[in-house]
Amino acid sequence: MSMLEVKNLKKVYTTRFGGNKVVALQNVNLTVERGEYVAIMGESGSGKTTLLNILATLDKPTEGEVLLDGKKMNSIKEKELAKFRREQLGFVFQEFNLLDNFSVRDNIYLPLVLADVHHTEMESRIKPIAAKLGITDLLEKFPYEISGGQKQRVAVARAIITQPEIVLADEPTGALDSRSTDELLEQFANINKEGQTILMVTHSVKAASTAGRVLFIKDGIVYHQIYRGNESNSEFYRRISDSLTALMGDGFRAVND
Amino acid sequence: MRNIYRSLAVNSLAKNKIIYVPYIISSIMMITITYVIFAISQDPVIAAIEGGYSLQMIMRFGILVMYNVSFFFLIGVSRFVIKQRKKELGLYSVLGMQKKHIIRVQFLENLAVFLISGVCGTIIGAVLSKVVQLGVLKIYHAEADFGWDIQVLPALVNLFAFGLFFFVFFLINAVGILRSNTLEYMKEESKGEKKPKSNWLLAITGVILLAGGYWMSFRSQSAVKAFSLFFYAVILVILGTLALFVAGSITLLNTLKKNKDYYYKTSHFISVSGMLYRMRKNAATLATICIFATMVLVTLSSVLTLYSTVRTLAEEWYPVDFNVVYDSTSEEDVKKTRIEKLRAGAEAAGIEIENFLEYDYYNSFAGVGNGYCTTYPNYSAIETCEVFLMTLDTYNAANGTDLTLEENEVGLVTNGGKMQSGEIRFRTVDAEYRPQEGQSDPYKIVEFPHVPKISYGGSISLVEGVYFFILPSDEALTEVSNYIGQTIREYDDARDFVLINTTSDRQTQLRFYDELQAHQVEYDCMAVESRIANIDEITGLYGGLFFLGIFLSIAFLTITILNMYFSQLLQGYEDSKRFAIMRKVGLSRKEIKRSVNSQIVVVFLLPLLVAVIHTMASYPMVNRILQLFGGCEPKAFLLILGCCILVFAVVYTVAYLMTRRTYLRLVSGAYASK
Repeated sequence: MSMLEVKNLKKVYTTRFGGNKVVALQNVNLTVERGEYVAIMGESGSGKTTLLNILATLDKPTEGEVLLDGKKMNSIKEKELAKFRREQLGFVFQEFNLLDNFSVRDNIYLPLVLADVHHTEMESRIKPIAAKLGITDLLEKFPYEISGGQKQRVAVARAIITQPEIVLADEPTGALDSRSTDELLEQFANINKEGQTILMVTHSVKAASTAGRVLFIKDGIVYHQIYRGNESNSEFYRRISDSLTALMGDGFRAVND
Repeated sequence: MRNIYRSLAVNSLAKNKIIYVPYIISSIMMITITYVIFAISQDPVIAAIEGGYSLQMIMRFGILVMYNVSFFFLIGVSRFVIKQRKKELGLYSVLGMQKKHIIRVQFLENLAVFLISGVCGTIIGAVLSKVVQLGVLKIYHAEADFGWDIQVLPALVNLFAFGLFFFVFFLINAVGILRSNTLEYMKEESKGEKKPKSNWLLAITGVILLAGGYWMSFRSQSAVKAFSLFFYAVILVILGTLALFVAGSITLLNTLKKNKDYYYKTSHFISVSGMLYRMRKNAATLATICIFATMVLVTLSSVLTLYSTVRTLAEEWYPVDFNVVYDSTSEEDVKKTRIEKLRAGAEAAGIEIENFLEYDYYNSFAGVGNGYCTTYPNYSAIETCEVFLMTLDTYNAANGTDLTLEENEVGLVTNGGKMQSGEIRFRTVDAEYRPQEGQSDPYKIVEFPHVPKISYGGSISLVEGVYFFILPSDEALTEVSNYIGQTIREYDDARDFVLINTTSDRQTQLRFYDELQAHQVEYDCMAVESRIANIDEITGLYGGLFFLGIFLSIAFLTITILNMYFSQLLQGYEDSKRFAIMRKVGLSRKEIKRSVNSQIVVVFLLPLLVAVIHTMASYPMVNRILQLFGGCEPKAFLLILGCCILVFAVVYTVAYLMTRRTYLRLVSGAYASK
């Protein structure tokens, strides 16, 4: 059984005063296996963030369903959603989303505190994660005192400290310089190697090239996917790049229609 | 080129009206309030009325407080305004404006805000101060001058002070612009906050200052001392409140944070951190709200107490309709002529006489205490009092009583005096307070039930108490007055009095009063007191105080509400960002709302609660001071205080709910966001 299964997903936005309907996603099907590292690529407005938001239960699909471990996510009650989100899912955002009134340590603790975990347990959990991500020295600092790359590593720590089923990352390298990007992608790969399932949305070929599988999405439709196989990052990079160039051609308008 | 800067400045004011309108309105209000207080404190018309001068002294003290408050309040607002606009300024810079150009635009904007608020504030202030002046005069029954006047000196000084303030705001701003680079400037808005640090020293200083202020209040012994210490107590409490809010709150929260078992609980984690930052940003504002709330409560309850009880008191002080004072004489003929003239005059004026009493008593200032009644009172040892000496017959006749005294007894009634029992001797001290030779035999004090029905209100606010000594016989009166009479003769001498009660109406009484006053020589009398005229005068004086008190309360309330509004605005901006993040990280809308609501409620309740505590603590001292103004019933004061607190709490809550809408509008985006 797949860990994450998306079936016939459709999302239609209606503008506030009735009128126009915008189809953000139509008939999206995809599966993610346990331990996979999947990247979803697409341009701005292609619907990839909408897809991620639905997977994150932050948004609801118009049609279709999402199953996590065979359980329908649509059926979870609003009340339990927040709990589900922080126990089953981990998030990494482009703009870090750290709370400026918490220290780095407390930012990472946040989901655990909400889950009523005792502070000794939290401390034992944070140690290996902080060491792995190289933020042990930053724990007592505040978000405004550290760099963007460091902030994103803190966000990653916050995402994985709950030992979630899946980590959802939305353009995690979008706000980072190239060195920080490299570091972060390496850490993503390492975390994945340890068995963590990751689903990342990005429009960066470099970021996608660290994944095991890349899905291409355009105008609300998943129209292509490629597997890494045994290729190195740079080989995979070239293939993703070629696919993108090739798939940008006119032929795909036909598919969309 | 010059025009571009001007139009840029004007445009940005117009475009940012959501933040500039409240800024300008609060500047106008501050300038108005300071001007009115300034103008009243310098107003020669108000100085001329009785009690007006001491009122002005209090208000002059108020001006300094107001300038401090205005400065810190407006600097907070102006920094808030700039912070909201940093992105826009950064954009100007990206688009190719140099720093000096931005600074020039900033200067013009500051100038515009100052000019608008300065002109509006002064005009509104001039109108308001005239209204206050007329109001005070009307209540005082004084001639009102309806001429139009802006007081030039206060207006100029006030404008100069605020001009300086705005210039300082501009300088701070300009330095900020010079020291930052463009990109930093654009990011400024989202820049994080500094870590709030504990400051034990300041927190403890705050506790000590506050304790000092409270101690002064609880230990205040006499009215005069309370009055002179009151301002120091106020300053201590103001500083203590500021220190406690600013340092105490953060120190306490940091201590809570250090306790891991407490801090890392769902219900405490977000609240403690949230409060820490809320207090860091809002502590000074909350302290200001608290201080002004206290001022409203104390002012309002005092003036209400004075105004509501003064009529009862005045009626007690002036129990007879007319009190005509004559130089004492032993010649029966003279007495007879005087009385005939007075009766004839009363009849001519249409006064219907209810009863007509003649009697004589001695009246002087004296020191009473430690078992002695002395003239040339030694202020350090005994209280300065007003003393009336009369015979038992006079007392019985005046009160319609049938009391008796033994030869060595003295009847005593006092209003405000402390000595009520034991023995008393009468004696004289000289100018150096040395007892002169000889003193009366001790008299045993017998407490008498009623204050004699004679008018005694004239100097009641100057002394610690009024004593009526009722002596058993003429001989005793002569003996006593010999011991303390040397000086009595020098100053007041003995008097004969005629008291008239009448059933005539107010107009007739006032006419007769005017007639007597105008023809004192013909009537051979020294002074006339009319109950109605006296009551008019007293209620007028306290009415003036009342009016000013109400005005000040409204001014303080306005400042409180303005502070509240900006505090909500600031918190709204901050919270809207934070909510969005918390939602994404996995808090349900309900959890966020609950946690934030509890913080908001604390921020709302804290100033109110502390203000109520301050007001309660001020009670003993203010109560003493009210005694100085005429001995109000402590129970009445307590009742009025309670009502004031209740009404204020309601008004405060309503104001809070209204300003809260601003907050909710700002955060609703975050609530609704995905």
